[in-house]
Amino acid sequence: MRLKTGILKLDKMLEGGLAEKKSFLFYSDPCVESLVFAYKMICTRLQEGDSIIYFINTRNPDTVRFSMKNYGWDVAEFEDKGSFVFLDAYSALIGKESREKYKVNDVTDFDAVRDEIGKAIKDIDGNRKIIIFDSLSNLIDLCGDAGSVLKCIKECLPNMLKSKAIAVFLFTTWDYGGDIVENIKGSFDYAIDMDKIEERRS
Amino acid sequence: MMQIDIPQNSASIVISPPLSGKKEFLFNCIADALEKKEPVIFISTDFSSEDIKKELAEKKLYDESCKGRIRFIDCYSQEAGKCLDDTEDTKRISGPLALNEVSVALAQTEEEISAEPKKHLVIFDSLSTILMFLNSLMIGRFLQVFIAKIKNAGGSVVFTLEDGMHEQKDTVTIEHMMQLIVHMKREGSKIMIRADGIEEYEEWKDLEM
Repeated sequence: MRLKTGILKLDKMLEGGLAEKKSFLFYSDPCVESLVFAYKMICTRLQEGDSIIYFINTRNPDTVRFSMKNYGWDVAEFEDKGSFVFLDAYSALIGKESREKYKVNDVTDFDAVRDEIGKAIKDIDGNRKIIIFDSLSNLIDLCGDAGSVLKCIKECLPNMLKSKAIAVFLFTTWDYGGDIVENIKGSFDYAIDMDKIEERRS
Repeated sequence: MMQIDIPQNSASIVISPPLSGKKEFLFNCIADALEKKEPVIFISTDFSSEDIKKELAEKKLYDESCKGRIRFIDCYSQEAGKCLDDTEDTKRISGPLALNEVSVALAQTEEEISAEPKKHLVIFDSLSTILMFLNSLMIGRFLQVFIAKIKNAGGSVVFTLEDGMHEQKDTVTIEHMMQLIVHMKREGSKIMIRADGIEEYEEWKDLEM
């Protein structure tokens, strides 16, 4: 079964939408606005009765709430219902106390990230659970080694994806050099070039 | 007005201790650009665009006549919990560590200034905010793309960095990407300046305001 993202071009590329129990890499060049597509997908899936766990390490969860609201996608109702939750890996990074239920004190501590995701998956309801990782590029940069990050992700994914879960990783293709970007693209079930979505949209 | 000309199509950095006159230097750069009718894009990580506008207005560098000639990218307000909307001359992004958002906002602002590559000045105040939380490797990757985009769009960029706040290897990584490195210090009420690579500024000199 395919789950529509709500983005016509993307759904067409994915032959109907996101596939259950699969991992997706949404990648784009620097300076390309691809976040809006992730927001649109989140909104579509929430309205279809799915649940979202939003792992964030690039900005404060409140700024995501604000940005989504500005686009006309208010997640407050879904947060109240418990079908949209943040896993805050940002606040600790900048030395702030997180107000989120799910949080990690060290973004590079994969065991803690995995445990919090496990807790959130267990806690929340919804037809299917979609885990958004925003962003994989920051995670790799903070850890300093793409290889070990990918290894940890590969180890964690089977457990995360069991039942009907889906994992979506957002990735900016900064100049990592060598084969790193190709290795990253090859580590997921699907790798989608969001620049193409952007071009087709215009 | 400037003592040191910012080279066209270049990346420069001002490195100095806190409160040693970086703002004054930046305001000189802005005054110089405005005099040459070049647009300015001010990216701020530590202050809201409203605060920057107030300071610029006090120096008579921001008024009705400047409208559209100075644009702002505010990386501070949302992070500080003020969820303010964008305005005609200001784009607000989630926070200084959302590096791709910074790049996107810059590209959009450059497009708004002109569809064609055109001389303009980008001020980035300050890299220290980012370097406090992210490593120099990560910032290096960001700067590589960021500087190239500005140059391709016909612009020059001036960054600021707090002296003494970061590890030397991090500072050197950043310096390596710059064409001009300006150092500043205060001596009493005087602001002193020197620049690496410019013969006449190898010794400390007064900054003319």
